[in-house]
Amino acid sequence: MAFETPFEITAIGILVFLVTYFLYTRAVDRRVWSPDPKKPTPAHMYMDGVEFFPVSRFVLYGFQWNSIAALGPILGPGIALTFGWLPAFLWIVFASIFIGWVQDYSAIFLSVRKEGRSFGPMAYELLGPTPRRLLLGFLVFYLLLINAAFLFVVATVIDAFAGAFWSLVVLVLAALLTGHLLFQRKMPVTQVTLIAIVLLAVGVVVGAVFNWPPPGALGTAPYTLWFVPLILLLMAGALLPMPRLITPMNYIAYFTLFPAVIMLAVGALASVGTGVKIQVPVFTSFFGPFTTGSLWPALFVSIACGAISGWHSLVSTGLTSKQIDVETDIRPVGAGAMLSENLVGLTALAAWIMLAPGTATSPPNFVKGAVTLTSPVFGGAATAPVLSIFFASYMVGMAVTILTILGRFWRVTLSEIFSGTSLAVLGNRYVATVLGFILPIAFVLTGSWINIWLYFGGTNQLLAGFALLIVGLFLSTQRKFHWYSTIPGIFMMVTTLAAIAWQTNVFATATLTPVRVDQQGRTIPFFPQQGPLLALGGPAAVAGVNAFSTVMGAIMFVIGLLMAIYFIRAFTRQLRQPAQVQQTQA
Amino acid sequence: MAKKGFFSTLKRALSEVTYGAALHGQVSAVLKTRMYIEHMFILMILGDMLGFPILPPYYSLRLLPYAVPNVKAWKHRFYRERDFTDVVYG
Repeated sequence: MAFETPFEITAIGILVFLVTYFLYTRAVDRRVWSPDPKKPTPAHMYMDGVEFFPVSRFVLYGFQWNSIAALGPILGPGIALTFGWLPAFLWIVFASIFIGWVQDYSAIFLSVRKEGRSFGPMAYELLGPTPRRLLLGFLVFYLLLINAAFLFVVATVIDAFAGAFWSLVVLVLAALLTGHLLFQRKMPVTQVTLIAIVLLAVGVVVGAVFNWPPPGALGTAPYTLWFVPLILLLMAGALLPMPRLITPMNYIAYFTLFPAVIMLAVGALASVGTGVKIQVPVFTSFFGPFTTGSLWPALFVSIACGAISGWHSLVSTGLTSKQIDVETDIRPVGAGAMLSENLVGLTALAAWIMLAPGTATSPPNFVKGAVTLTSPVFGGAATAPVLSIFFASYMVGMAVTILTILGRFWRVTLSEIFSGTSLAVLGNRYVATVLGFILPIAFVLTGSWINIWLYFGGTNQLLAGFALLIVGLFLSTQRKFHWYSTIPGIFMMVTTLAAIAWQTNVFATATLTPVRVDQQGRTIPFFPQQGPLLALGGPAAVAGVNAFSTVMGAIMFVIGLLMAIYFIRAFTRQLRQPAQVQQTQA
Repeated sequence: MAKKGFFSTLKRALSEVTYGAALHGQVSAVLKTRMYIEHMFILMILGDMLGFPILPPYYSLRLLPYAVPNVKAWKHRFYRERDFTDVVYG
């Protein structure tokens, strides 16, 4: 019978990615943007050897893919399974054709055509000063949410697989060592890379052997003491110069990303032979539990980077667009890297659907699914403990590397907002760094990673909607076919605003009714995981934490709505302008 | 001949993708760190012209020859519009 194993969905998905790349991306590239290989790019026009310099398309593809790969495509499919595996699969496939690559590729192209400008200045030019300020405010809350979601997941995974923490410790030590060897001792890259790979393997073995303490020993997630060493590590990463810790850690973590994706893909494609079967139902219901909401909009904000992500537009316009050698490289770099990211999401989905129905929605279960999928190919039951720590380290590594970058970005953004104001102390590097990792704990205390994730997904995809609409607006000023970007932009804007509104409603309900009495007459919190908080601070503490999330959601919704209004006004203004004026402006 | 060309291209592509994924970000961050230090250096040397008399003109003039080769790139960087979305990677 078809679709009994993950083979079919993986094979179909890969085929769709290839067809999309060779047909649709090529058609858009030729007919809409018309790249000219002779036209000088910002990398040549403004070459300074630091930010602007031409780089080979292979190098930029690798950089772009590694920069956009994070926890989103790994975790997101787990939540999407609330509605069955088919909707999750169809969304990954649909987004891979019409939405995901459109944003990454078009953002790079727009930036290249706009002298290598990043997202903020382009928003200023096309929409005006207020939207740029709104974008700045939006990013502050977005960074808080992404920190909260990722911290929550890392602490939960480490709580279940403590060995992953010791692997992380080895990763940090390896990062410090390789950074020193590369830049202080000037050791050749090949030798350092070999040392890094050996240390990475040692870290996994150390984690498998030293899988201590047992789950729950430091408090049950998310009320766990694992946050203390994690936050200290992240603050160090955010405060130290990037080459000291963050970039060497990214460098080493790449050597888990690549093998993990390959192993999952091989495990899924070999499932016809190994006999592992899909456990999750094809489709459950259009309406999920109240806390998740209905399939629309929840599904479309859950898979995040595996389908589309606003973070990618920041990466695409932040550095990649400044180093594009020729315009014809933009398609393999932007679209190619995003379709590879779709593959990360697809392989993660293949792992999640290995789990029995109802067990999927907990981050450590990804590890269980991945081990079930891959162990028959890679050594059987004997290698399962090592594979568990490997996949747990894969998740932790993907999260921690991006969290340290986000910590720095948050610090700089806060400094931008508060410098020169009466609240300048909030822009202080130490104060801002501490706030960046302490404030998200308030979200974490809600105890429900799904709701935090859906908040994060909503804001992340809303940022993607902004990027798609900015591209659409630019193309419409050029009298070019802009609907390929504008329609996905409108869809993402409407969907994400609905998702944020629904989650705000969930948290508002949890604030107004922080506790309820169950059938046995016990008082339990709205989110069951808030039990320890209820015992510690009573209903007032539970209501306070939930109110914080409600207010944040409301602020995000208002900012998103204001941005939508600015986009509508800009498009309307554009349509009213006579064609001649538009051409003159272009 | 064509076969050799294919394999050499594949080898180049794989090594460059690995470099890009693993090291390009690191190299960019190091270059940016150097850029900030160089900005500090030129501010110290040419601060006089900008209204920051950090070094006495005698020492500025002694150091000026070391700064001259980089003046063009500095000019590009100084005058370029910089935004908070530019600093995602350092």
